[in-house]
Amino acid sequence: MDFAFLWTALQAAAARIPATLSLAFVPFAAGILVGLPTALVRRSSLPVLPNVLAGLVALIKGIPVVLMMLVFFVLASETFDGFMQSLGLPWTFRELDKSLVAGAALTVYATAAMCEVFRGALAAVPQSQYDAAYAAGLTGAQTLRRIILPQMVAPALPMTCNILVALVKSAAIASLVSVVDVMNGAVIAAAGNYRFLEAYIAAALVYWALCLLIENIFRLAEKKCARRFAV
Amino acid sequence: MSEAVLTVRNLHKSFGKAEVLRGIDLEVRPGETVALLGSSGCGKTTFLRCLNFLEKADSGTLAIAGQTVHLQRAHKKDILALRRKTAMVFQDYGLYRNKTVLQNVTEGLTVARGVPKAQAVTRALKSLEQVGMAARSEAYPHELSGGQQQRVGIARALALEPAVLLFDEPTSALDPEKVQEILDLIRSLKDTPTAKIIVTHEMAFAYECADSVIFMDEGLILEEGAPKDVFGNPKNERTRRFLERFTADKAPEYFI
Ligand SMILES: Nc1ncnc2c1ncn2[C@@H]1O[C@H](COP(=O)(O)OP(=O)(O)OP(=O)(O)O)[C@@H](O)[C@H]1O
Ligand SMILES: [Mg+2]
Repeated sequence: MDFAFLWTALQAAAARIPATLSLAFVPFAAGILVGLPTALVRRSSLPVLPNVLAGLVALIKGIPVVLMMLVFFVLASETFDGFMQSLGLPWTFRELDKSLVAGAALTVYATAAMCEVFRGALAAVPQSQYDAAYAAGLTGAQTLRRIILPQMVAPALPMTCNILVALVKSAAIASLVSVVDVMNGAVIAAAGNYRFLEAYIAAALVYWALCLLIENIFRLAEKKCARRFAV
Repeated sequence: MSEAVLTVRNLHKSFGKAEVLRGIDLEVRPGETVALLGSSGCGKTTFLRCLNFLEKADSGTLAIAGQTVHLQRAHKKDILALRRKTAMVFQDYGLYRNKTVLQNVTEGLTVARGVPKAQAVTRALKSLEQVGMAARSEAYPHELSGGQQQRVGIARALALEPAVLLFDEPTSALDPEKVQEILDLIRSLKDTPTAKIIVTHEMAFAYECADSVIFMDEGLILEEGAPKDVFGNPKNERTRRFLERFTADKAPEYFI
């Protein structure tokens, strides 16, 4: 084991933390923004739409993230240039930031996953809470915003943490489509000396630290929720 | 005799093929206390929930405090306006779990009725005082006993100063000692201008406290009248059988 190089690789990996975090957090945020309304629509009594969305979510859940990312990459490589040309824009796939492609795939995954989390959290709020709010004269929107959504936070937290951690780790797959994230940062550092074991260990240490940090932040949030009101 | 504050005409409600309410007519005057009796599954809860649109009735008309709607074509706006003339006390309390006692009471005032915050707090504290829960106004529901939660549930309804106050078995989830406490509390509201409809299995309470008793069976009102008439001399065979157990062993002193 070359500890001096491990340190070098660790620094190289750590330098790419922003890339990994943005690859995880942007899809995560998008997943929350799209997943919540999706979950609400799925619970609604609208015609057709809930079933369509349920089917979509089931479809996405059944595809490995790595496969989704590669499909997005192939699709983008084949269609991007033509599409940009038809719009009269000068951008080409070669110059395209590939982390956008990886991010798009992760966003699809995160949206389906967060939709399922919110669906579970919605189911954890008893009907009596809606009844009480409606009986008091609150509108549907007021009930949702002031009574239901706040009560969904606590039951949603544990699974949300799992998904964020999964996203941070899945961001490593982006190295397949030549995005320089934590994983690729460490590997590139080893390109000169072929000390890949040290590089992988360095990457693992960085992922481990990131995930530990995220889990602890969520644990704090869970505690805070539990203190305020039991659910 | 004053004008009715609540009038229901020919209310029907089905769940799928099962017709649960088969044409209910009812008039309640301001300040009146109506006890709604009937065996389990006869439609009491459903009827009460139709009055504030927690269930959507299929047909009939409903008038509360001067506003009339045809139930089969009630619009969102009508529903909201009518709901804001009523308040409900639930069997399982239904306190908002994410809000303190005080916030539970102010919510319907500030959010649904646009009462300014300070004024809402004053009204809420007054109601909480009335039910003996003002000291716990900063507690969350999960920190309270069932009896305390129901007190807050009642305060929450009272603070809205509704024209009609609906109680659905307010004591069914409580132990016998607490049942009396809550019944005493409801009894203390007797002289308020709010009309009260109380679904209950507490026959002694209905007998003593109600101005009028209604006996429901299989989605119909079978008997309606002053407690001493309905209990003492039920006209309907079904009513007689329902009340028999109670009149025989529970409260002989009322019927000698
Ligand atoms: N949401 C629903 N969907 C289908 N059927 C329902 C629903 N709610 C009530 N029912 C049925 O309607 C009938 C009346 O129910 P309801 O709850 O009004 O009775 P209740 O008189 O309040 O009884 P209890 O004294 O047990 O509370 C019952 O047969 C019940 O099974
Ligand atoms: Mg009932």
